[in-house]
Amino acid sequence: MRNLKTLFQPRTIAIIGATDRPGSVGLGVVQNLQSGKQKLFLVNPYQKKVRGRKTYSSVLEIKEKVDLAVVAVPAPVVSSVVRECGRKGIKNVIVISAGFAEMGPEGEKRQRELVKIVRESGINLVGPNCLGIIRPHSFFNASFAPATPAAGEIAFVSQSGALLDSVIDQSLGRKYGFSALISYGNEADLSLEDFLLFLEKDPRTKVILLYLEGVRDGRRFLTVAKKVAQIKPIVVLKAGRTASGRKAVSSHTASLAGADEVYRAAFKQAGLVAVDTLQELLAAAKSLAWQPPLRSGLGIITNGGGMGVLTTDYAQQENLKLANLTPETVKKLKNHLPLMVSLRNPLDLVGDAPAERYQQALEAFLKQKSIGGIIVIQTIQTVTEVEKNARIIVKSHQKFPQKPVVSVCLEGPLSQKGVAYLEKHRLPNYSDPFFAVRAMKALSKIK
Amino acid sequence: MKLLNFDEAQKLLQDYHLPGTKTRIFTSRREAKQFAQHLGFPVVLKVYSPLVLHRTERGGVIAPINNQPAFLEAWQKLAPFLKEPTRAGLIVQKKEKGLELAAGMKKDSQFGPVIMFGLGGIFIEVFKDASLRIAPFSQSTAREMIKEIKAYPLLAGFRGRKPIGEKELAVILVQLSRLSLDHPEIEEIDFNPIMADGQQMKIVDAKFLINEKS
Repeated sequence: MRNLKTLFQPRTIAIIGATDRPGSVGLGVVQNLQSGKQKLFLVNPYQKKVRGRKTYSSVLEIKEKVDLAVVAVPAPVVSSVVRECGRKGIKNVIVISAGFAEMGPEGEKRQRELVKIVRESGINLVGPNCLGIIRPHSFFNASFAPATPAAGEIAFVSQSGALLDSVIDQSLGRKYGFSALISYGNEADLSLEDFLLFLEKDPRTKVILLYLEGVRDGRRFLTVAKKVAQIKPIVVLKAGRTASGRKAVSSHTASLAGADEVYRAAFKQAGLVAVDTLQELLAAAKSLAWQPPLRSGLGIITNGGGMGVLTTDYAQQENLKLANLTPETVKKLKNHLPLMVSLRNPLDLVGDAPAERYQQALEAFLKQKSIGGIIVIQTIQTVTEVEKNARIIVKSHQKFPQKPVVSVCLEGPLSQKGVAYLEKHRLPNYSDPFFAVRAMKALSKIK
Repeated sequence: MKLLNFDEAQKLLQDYHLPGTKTRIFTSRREAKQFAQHLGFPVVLKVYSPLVLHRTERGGVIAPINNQPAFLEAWQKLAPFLKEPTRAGLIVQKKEKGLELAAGMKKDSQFGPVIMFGLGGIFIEVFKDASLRIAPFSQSTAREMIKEIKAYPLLAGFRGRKPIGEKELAVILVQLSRLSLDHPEIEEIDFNPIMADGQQMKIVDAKFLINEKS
């Protein structure tokens, strides 16, 4: 296993290709790293100062020990600056620059040369052709991403860098956060599997998300992913599933996207959770980061029949079994609920349900052994007390922390505050019951 | 790529305890007829030639053959294949009954040998109803594969039919996965059909494609 500790927690960083030029990758990297806590050295032989700071013409001019170099210079000069990194004794290098194996024979040649240099110098290389890496917990952003996301338990490993940018944007102002974001690009040296093994041991990471176009070594991927998935859930979104998609992949990240069916089989064998859309990937992540696994039947509580039916349909499509209510649960509910509520699962508390009714239903459901988790739905009607309900849902769940509870509430102006309260307390809300069911499905698959 | 010859293919099945059907290859009509009598009618007569991969399309299979005169007539029809400049022969085997299943192996450039399971005949090609796993795998993974195909209810005893032996079938898949890893020179394997009659499995047709460079 490769030692990536310093790569993810450097104290001193050289930025090769640091520049003031507006709109440049080099400036993006400088700005992001300046927002962090590491000591920086800006390297640029053509500019004496960048952002008012003195520059070095080469890493060899820096007197102090450098833990990491971030390289954002044109592809033809990458090799020579990385060679200097080797001479300086820098052990970790991120090459952001594109123009390597994804660019045809000339790029491939360039990449081979780069690999030769890093192997000779014992350098850990991330990339080339990547966005970089981000560790929100350590205020460390070695990328040209548009912002640094909040810290949290989700690790996102992506073959595509731009996709990470959008994922970051969407996460801003929401309640979930990241333990690491890794854009691994062409994986000329450090590979996806190296990062998975690092995350397996990373105490900050609870769930691993993977955006994948193709793997370099299928059998190694299978072995490593299987090992890591025993410890932490891995959710995977595979692109290049169709013939035209595969064509697009080869010019994007230089990897071969093989037959989709074979990848699907590999994911199953490794125990990964495979999803079909980006939204589903993030939806599953929230639940996996915040909620315990689903170990037995599902319970559905709603105040609107239609949403209950939709959710029940999705559950059956996903082979998630709804638990039958036991006589004890029925007896308990009978004492508290009005006559017009039919006592079954899915349980429809009817449109006029006040918060107390939710509380009685939730606690009776959670108490039943064969109910392993609950999807609780709120449709917004005149009497619906979303915020009060939110507090009750969180409180009831706290009494049964070993069972997952997820909420469905179409977020709008009337329900925003309630939803924010839920998510602040790590109770995931979904605007569509479809995603709530898929999240429960993911919770049912993990160890 | 070339087709592994008949005797070597049969030997591979035996080595891996894979249940083949009673079958032999002949170039002599007299010996073939004797073997057919020994098996008891109905029998099947089919061409085995490295040059003929899809023999049904080329009219290389005659079945069922219910008696001796019909057998001799069938031999007459297929005899021209013996003139092809290869080590061709005509195979005589018992006409097995039961549900037609299929299993196979293909090499994936990323994952190596991938094992496929599905219903035999046209179902795999037309409905793409097959399950896949990467070799090697355990008996429990093989059981998952069997349950995964859409046609699984047919195997489990649909409308009063005899359910087929899932354990016996799983053994075939596991052994196929081992064989594929032990023999890197084999590029492709096709067991089609495997006739499943209750617990009894018979691999009626086993094709192995060999990479001549390795």
